[in-house]
Amino acid sequence: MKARHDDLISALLAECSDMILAGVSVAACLERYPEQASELEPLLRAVSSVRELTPVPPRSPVVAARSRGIFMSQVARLQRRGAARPWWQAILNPGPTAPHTRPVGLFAILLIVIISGIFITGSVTLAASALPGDLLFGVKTGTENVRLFFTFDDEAREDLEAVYGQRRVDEAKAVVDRRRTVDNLILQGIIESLGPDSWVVSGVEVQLQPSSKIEGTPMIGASVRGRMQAPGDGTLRLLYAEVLPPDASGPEDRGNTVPQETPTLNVPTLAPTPSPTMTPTAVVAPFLSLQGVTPAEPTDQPTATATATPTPTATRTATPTATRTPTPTRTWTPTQTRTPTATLVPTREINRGRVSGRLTAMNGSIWTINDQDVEVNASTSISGTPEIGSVVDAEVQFRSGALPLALNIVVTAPPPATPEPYEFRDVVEAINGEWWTIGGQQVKVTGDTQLEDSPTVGDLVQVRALRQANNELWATSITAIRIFEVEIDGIIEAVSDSSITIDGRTIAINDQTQFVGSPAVGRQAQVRALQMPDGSLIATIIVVVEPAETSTAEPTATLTAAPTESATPGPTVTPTGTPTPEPTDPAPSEPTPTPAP
Amino acid sequence: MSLLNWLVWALSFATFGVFKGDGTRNEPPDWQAVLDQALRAEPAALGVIYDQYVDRIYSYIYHRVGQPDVAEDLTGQVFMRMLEAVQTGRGWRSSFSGWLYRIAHNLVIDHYRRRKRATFVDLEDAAPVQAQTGDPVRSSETQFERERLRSALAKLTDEQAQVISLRFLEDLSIAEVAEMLDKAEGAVKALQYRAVLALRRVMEL
Repeated sequence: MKARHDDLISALLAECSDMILAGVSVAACLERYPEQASELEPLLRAVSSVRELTPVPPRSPVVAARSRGIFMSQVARLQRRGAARPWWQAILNPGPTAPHTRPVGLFAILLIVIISGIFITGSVTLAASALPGDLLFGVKTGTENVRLFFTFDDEAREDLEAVYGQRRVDEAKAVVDRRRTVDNLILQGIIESLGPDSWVVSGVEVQLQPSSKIEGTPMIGASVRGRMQAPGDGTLRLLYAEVLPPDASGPEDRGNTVPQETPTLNVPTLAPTPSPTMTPTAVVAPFLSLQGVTPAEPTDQPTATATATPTPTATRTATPTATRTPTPTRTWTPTQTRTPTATLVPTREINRGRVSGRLTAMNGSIWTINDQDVEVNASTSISGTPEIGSVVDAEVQFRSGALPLALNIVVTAPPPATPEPYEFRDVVEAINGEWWTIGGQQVKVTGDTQLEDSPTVGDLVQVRALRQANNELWATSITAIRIFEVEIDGIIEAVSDSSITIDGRTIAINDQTQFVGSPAVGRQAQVRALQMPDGSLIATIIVVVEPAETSTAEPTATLTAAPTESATPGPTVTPTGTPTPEPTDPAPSEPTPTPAP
Repeated sequence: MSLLNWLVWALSFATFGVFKGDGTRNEPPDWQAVLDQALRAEPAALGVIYDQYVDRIYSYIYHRVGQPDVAEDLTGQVFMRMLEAVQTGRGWRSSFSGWLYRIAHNLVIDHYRRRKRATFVDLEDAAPVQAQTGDPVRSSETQFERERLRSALAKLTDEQAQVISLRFLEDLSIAEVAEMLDKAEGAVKALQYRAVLALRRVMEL
């Protein structure tokens, strides 16, 4: 009985809520069902109150435009790779179309399913949803390996690897959620946070164990690939991890560090060669000796027990006590073979890492390298002359509750060729992705550009930019200039040819200012002014309340008004002691010629 | 599994798209053609889909997370997931809107799972709302109510919160929600009833 009653109320609620969504009032809904009105009313009131909160704050047009630009650039990228999709994939994944629009896909699937063997196809398909630990998981990864093997296009292969990487992350999450016990599962992703006992890798928390083996230098933003163990208690334990350095700096940021050729290996090994230009640094040595891990990134650290054979020039003599004179210059040796099975047994000294890339800000002790803030203090060893735009390589110590501390910073490349500061003020005419048209000029908005006060199309903006060597303008900041109109009413305390002071507020006068009446100290005036972003005021109209008995001559500076309704420049200020005849009409229709001083 | 079962499975799989129409609303008349073109990675169609859905997905996510920047970020991720699916041929199989909202929902869940903390934003941390009416008092009241609703939704079950969001914040029909949640319409009505009851209890309306 209760169930039937609930069914009835839920059906009526659905109907009435549809009516409310369509704009019908709660009362009108209740009138239709008077017997259930008392029960429906509180529910419909709840629905109605939720509806009142429906509107969301509007998206920032700038952000929206940028997001769309990013999306469409990805679309373009996708289209370029469209041809790389294998024919068999197109058949096996025809998409969600109705059969009348794509009957061939339907029959092709059936044909393939039947002809190519139920068991094989079925196993592979079933395996698609298999998780680590499942019997068919091996089929799944095997299928992936086959696909990778037969994908010869580099970009398509890269995409596939990304997809499979995300798949591993999803599987790891599923294993954790379901509290499955898995002895060995693969996880690869990006390090999002580093803690003393755990990391977060692409949203998955991984517990570190004393026995965890780590290859490379863990740092936020670095890619990591490794093996985990799920004990079945909803956690993941790290068995082995290989850390790859982040590649956020882009090819241009590598500057002089890639002088010969692009390495083809994922983790090229560095062969340091002495450079006489580097400054001796004693701070580096302890760090190097402390590191229990061999960084995957090319580095000047000793390679300990790595099986890779370094080139003769790669051996660096870094002893803890030696004052290292030459800091090595980085050179890539793409022929070196990476040895992922290097028998390294790192210590738990994982709170140090490396931040490389463009130095984009130096605010006191806080420097920003490749979007990562680091703290620089007196103990930080600095080699070279870092300045905004330099490419630097910093070794940092991660600290809980504080920014990473830079232990040493080496300038690896100077700022790009003489970007010249360029500043102008104009109107935003169009926003096309990262390129904005401002006053007819193309300005590039980069990730470092500060957008202040949400500038958008039609806004007057102040642009600070750097003109690059290729003549492109890269904005460092774009500030919307918000101008407000204010009115000020009071006694004129001072007046000159460039400003007027009323009630303690000084308002600038320019050639666009219109006057009604003659401003003079002691007179009442109403001023309409524009308040600029810096708080300054510029008068647009000044209306002076004339005294009841107008004298014919004023001993002070006087103004002859030329107020017209057009945009004609206003009156000329005549700061002269010569008495000027006052216009008797406070709003003369014709301009009055002003006698020269 | 027997051969017969496999054949039945294969036929079911192949004809899945036959019986389930797309439940999208307010789309252009040739919407199905747009969807087909999008599956072929045609930029214009993907752009149309983006423009058609970006605000709705943003709204859905914003109502769940309450932070414009997070909502913007997750919205972008939703559409990136869509592109990945198109690229790998694992796109929508029935209702496109349901499929897209499901991605958004999963990302919201992931977001909270990552943060591992209460699923509402403290008022002090909440992003300021741009006053639309010029009345700051009214704006702050709205903001307060919105936060209150969000914290109330966080106390409901996942499905209850989802049905409230989709039905009353995003204006989806019972049929669309049913497609999205992969439930029968009757089940969604019952779920909605329980959700409104629970919401009323939590918010003490």
